[in-house]
Amino acid sequence: MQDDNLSKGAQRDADVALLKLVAAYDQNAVARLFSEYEVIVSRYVCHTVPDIGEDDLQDVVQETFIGVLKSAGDYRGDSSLSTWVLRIAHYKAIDALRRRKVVDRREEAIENMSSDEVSFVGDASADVEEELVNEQDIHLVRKALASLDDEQREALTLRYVMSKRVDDVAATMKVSRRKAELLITRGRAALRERLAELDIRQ
Amino acid sequence: MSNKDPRTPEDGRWSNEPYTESMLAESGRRALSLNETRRAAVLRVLLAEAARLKELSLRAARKPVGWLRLVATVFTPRVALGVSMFAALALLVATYGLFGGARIPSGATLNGSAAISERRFGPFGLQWNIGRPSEVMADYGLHRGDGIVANGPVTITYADGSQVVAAAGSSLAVLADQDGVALANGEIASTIAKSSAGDIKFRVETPVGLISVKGTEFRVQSGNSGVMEFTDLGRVTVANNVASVDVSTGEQVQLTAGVKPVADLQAPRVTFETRATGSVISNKLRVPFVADIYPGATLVVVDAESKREIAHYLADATGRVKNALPEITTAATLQFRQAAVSPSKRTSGLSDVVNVQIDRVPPTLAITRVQRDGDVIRLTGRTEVKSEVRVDGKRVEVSSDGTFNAELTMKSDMTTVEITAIDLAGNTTTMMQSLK
Repeated sequence: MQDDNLSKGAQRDADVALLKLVAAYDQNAVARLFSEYEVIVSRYVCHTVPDIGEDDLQDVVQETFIGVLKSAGDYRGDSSLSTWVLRIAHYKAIDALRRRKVVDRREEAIENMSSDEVSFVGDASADVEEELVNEQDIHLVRKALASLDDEQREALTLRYVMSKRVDDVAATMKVSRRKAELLITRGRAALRERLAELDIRQ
Repeated sequence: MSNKDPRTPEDGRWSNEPYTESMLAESGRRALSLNETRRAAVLRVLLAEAARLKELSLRAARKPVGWLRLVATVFTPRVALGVSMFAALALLVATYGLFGGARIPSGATLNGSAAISERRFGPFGLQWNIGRPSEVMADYGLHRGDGIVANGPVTITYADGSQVVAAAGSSLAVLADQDGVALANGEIASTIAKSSAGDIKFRVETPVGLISVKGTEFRVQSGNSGVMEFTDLGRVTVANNVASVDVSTGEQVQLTAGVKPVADLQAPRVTFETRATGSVISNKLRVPFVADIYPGATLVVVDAESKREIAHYLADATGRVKNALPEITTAATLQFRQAAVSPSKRTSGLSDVVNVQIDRVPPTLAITRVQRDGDVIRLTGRTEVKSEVRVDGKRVEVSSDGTFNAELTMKSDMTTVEITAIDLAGNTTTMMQSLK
């Protein structure tokens, strides 16, 4: 996604240039942006909207990129492009949560969640032996994460699943850095508790 | 790991936060994105949307910015309101000035009942009128350009004594640039003081032309073909958009738009003392007459057949000719014309033919029957056709064939009655009728 060889400033310049082309509705630029950021957006949406199905994931990703297309002209390089894209995804995910009344169905969804859930199909390239060890724990982590409240779940997703810095978490969620820190700290505590509970139940 | 005591999670792997974090990161790595088919579908929608938005933006760019839209952008309702209010205020101040505009005295005064429309002169050549209600005015000071609607006869007097009398209902205006009036409709009669300098000092404008006056008296009746008569000695120029003509006293000008004006004298009207209609019957050899022409003009009597002048008479200061025709023995057919005074010396056309008959024979008169019924006496008689009959001083009716009937009451001492017949020429026959 982000070329580590490029300095931060050069990366921003490249991002601004790309978004300028996207703002002019250049087909190649749009295709490039999509191929580069689709994975990030999908991963983010999968974790913030826990029980999302394949159709809904496609819808949210599509809405996110159409949103990116329409507001590409507004990108000034103040934050990284991935943070900026995720901020749009953030609103689309919130819309999706509201639309599908996720809150009401969350408990049920968590109970029914299985390892063959479409959005969490195991990576075929992973080491077979290690996969056997981790498979159950990954599933537990996801289950615990899904049971957190929306804000904590999103903060933890951005911080640990997406490997974002606290500043980017705050920027994406449109909250203060202090609030982001608080959400992460409390989220971690809550996650620890849920994991322990889930472990006992198993 | 799974054989650790599940009831002591602090000792278990989940109390190891780096492990939890690594599991979360692993969860991210293992989360699959959309499958190829769905990715392709989203990309297709995205590219189509990009193409659609591009087309829209191109169309918007191609659309020229209309000046109306430009004006609408610059002149927001608030700006437009401000600008128009400022403009209105500026116009108000500019046109009314501090005193409602200037008025320029014309030196003329008005007497009579009229509605005046005051002409105001503002800056930048702006002019406007302020109406005043109709009222009776005495020595009202007229200003240049003022409009006048006369409710009754109105007299406008200029400083040099020139006067314009406008008939009721006339509407006129004081000229803005010199002495004079513009007559829109109605009638004016004017006496203009003679100018010693000989320059044109008074002007009358009508819808069909204008009259420049160097001292004369004239009447103007406005309309599409204004007829003007001029009296008194003086020189008048009448002009319209075609030509101008100098007019002498007593002459008349027919002023029609687009037609060269022609000065003309009116044929005189001559009146005779006669009871006859259609012709003049007189018992005098020299038949008296009265004619009203223009002061100083000449009345000419012409033989209707030979068109030769028989006689001429000079009008007095009032324009009246009271005289008698030259001696006529039996009958004559005459016509009249008038000749203008200098400078034009034009003569008028001839009047209608007048037949003059001289009749010096008294009318016939005879009583054919006297009938007595108690105190009432009935008389039947005959006289000349169209004669007048008086019985005992009272006029009685005469039928068209000349017969008449009279009735009178007998008085105790009455023995005769006087009967008189008078013919058209004025000859009389009187007889005394015995009543016994």
